[in-house]
Amino acid sequence: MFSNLLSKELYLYLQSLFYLEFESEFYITQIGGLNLVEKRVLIVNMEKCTGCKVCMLACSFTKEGVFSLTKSRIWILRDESRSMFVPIVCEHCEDAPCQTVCPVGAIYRDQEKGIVLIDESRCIGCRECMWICPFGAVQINLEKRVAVKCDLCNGDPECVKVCIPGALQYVSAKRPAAARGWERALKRSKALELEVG
Amino acid sequence: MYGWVGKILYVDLSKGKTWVEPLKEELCKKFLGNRGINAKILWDLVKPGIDPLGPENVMIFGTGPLTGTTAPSSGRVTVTFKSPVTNLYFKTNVGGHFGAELKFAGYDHLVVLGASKKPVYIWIDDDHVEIRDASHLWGKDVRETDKMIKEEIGDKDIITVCCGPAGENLVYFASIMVSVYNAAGRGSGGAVMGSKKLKAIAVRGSGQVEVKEPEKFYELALEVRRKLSQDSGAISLHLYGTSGSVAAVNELHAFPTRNWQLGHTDKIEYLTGQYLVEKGYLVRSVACFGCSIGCHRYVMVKGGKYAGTFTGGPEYETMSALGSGPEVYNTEAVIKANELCNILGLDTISTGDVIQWAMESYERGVLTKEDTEGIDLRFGNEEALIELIKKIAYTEGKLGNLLADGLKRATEKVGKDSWKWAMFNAKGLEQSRVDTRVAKAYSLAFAVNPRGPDHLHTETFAEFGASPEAVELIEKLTGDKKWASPYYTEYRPEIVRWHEDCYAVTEALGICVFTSTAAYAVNPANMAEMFTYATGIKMTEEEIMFAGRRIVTLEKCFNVREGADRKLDNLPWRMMHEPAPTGPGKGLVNSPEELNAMLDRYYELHEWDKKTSWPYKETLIKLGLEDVAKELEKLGRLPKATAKK
Repeated sequence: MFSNLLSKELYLYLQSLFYLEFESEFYITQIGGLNLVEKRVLIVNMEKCTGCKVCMLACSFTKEGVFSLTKSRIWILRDESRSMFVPIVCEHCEDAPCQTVCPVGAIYRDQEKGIVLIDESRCIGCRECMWICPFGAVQINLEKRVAVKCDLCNGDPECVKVCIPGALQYVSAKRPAAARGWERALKRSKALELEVG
Repeated sequence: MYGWVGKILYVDLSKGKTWVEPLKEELCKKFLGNRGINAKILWDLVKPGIDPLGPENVMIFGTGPLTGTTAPSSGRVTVTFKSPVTNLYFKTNVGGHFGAELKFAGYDHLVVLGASKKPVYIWIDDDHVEIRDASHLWGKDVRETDKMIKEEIGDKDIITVCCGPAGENLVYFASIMVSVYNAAGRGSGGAVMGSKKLKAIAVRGSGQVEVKEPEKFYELALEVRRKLSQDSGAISLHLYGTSGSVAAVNELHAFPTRNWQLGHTDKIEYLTGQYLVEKGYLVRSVACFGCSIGCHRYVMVKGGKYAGTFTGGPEYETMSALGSGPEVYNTEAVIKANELCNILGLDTISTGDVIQWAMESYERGVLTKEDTEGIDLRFGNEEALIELIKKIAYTEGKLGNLLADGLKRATEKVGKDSWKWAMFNAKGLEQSRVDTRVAKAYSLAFAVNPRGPDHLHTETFAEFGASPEAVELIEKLTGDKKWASPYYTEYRPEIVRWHEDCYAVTEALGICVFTSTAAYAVNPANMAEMFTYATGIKMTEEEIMFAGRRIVTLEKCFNVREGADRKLDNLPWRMMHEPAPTGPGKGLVNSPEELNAMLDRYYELHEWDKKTSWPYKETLIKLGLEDVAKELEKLGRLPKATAKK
């Protein structure tokens, strides 16, 4: 893809154009495929989630080779009558409770990439991490009998690539809230009828 | 099995029994899945002439080989039954999350037989299937039913399908509601559920779907998804929903207004998807399972008279049926009316058509204030619209009872030529909201539709030539770009035939027709390839389209077996006899002569008999429908003449 040839600045500029063209937050966050070496974080924008669950299919396929909702490591909770959809996924906490609570030290942090990982060979399947996770993002795989959770596909998360509405974004860890800030800025400027971009 | 999970779940409500049968591969190869296999099961299980509201009727929920995979928009379910409205074959296709959940629970199809004596609901939890008491749910609206079942089971993530009070009261246009706001609206499936005393179906699936060639399939599906995400039609659908095209159709003067007296309104602004966004009614774009388009709406009214209203929709059809049709141009009132239809379980298209007919009858003095029990039923009266929706759903009073029977039966009771301004055709179904006088392929597609006059069996969107892809397709089908205009009658049968096959294949695979016949991003070649990678059964583009034609023909044969013939392939009187009053297509009409000429060519293309519209024996044998031919022959419903060699 040509996006590999683009500089980051140019890419972000193009991205902002995209924004304005459709006057909405649709299709803006396809950073997957860019070879940025820096540390990045997964951010979830609930407002954009349409509840389609494609991320769950992509996840279960990438991790287990089948399409399944229970084998996914990201979950979309849906309140159907209020049409509210909440993606639940490991936040890779800076001070991760699961890591602290693990009795056998199976949970560790890859400092370079900023990913919290589970060493399946050491995991005893005790569920401590599952109970303590404030998001409910850890589950026990009953076939493998170990705890499983999102590992950000080793730095190239598949769910982000398939999330066309852009509810899942994988952005620079230096200033992860930038995209969110720009969204607000554009919305406000539109409300004030200012020409920006 | 790959693609399919290989099981059919049977639930007999009369005997209180459930069992599982394997899905035969031969059936899969011939009818693909979903709508196709549903049609075959219905053909096998339903005897001709039965009462659609009796225990002999069968209700089938079907998923397809691509359901639950990353194929674009793979959450569609087809519900098939014999309709009480038409007494004919009926399938209704719906999104939401039920299909995928059913497949993950381990079933390709769910067949509901018999009828229960007391209200029940079916609870499917993987291998555990249970018929549970639903006395406490009877009478509850759709939202309450969904909530109560989720609380009772103790899992907020299960998916429900249910009918509302309208279904329980056997209203002739009661819908089946899936995932709360997705409606399998047409044909009164809700009343079939009501007649079986089946209030709801709840499902939870923890299984999986495997495909034959995972890597290839995943790559291809992703590529098709990307193509779809760049399609202008798909982007517009995401941003503004189906009602985003309201203004354009209004410009063509094809947007039915004032009970189809007009095709254009000056107050269109308030009914557009763009207005919903601008004024902040739209809270979120909502997607069915596995869909990257997300055309469904969720709206809320925060202030004013209708404060506190929230619902899925309103869609294009609803904007016309409950907006321009009764001339209610208050967006908030339309949203309120839509909410009521959704939670009471009514089809918005037919509800609108019925109420507008009553309004025109009132205007003409055919219905008096005595008949309406004091309601001032003039056009534009939003209170009357909202009041009537409730009356219909609960079959309250004289007017509620009259209208709940649908236009065919209501006009028979009222008489006085009132059928002339009632928008239903010989099959008995109310027409969906396109003025077919100024869209000729639509008119043919509506007339031959085995369900009745609507766009949900074959939608020939390409004839408008609204996108480069559409024009290209018309050129491919007819040999010349110039035919991409809705005012021509030439080549319409060819256009309808292609769309019929394509529509059938799309639905049979379990994906959404918006990907293939509204956006044209997914073509038959893509579908054949996805099918091959998913199931391991090799199929070319031609072969898969041939399977589509087999499905369409089988559906036709069901109606032939019920006694249908060419006389039923027509349009509402107003479309056939009153010329379009304004606009670029002013003066056009779907005259009997015009329609007959198109029908002749259409039957010829299908190799069906022109006189009766029945398929020839040779045609059926060529399609591999020998058993169908044999049964029709026994009943004397094969044409006397034989196909020309």
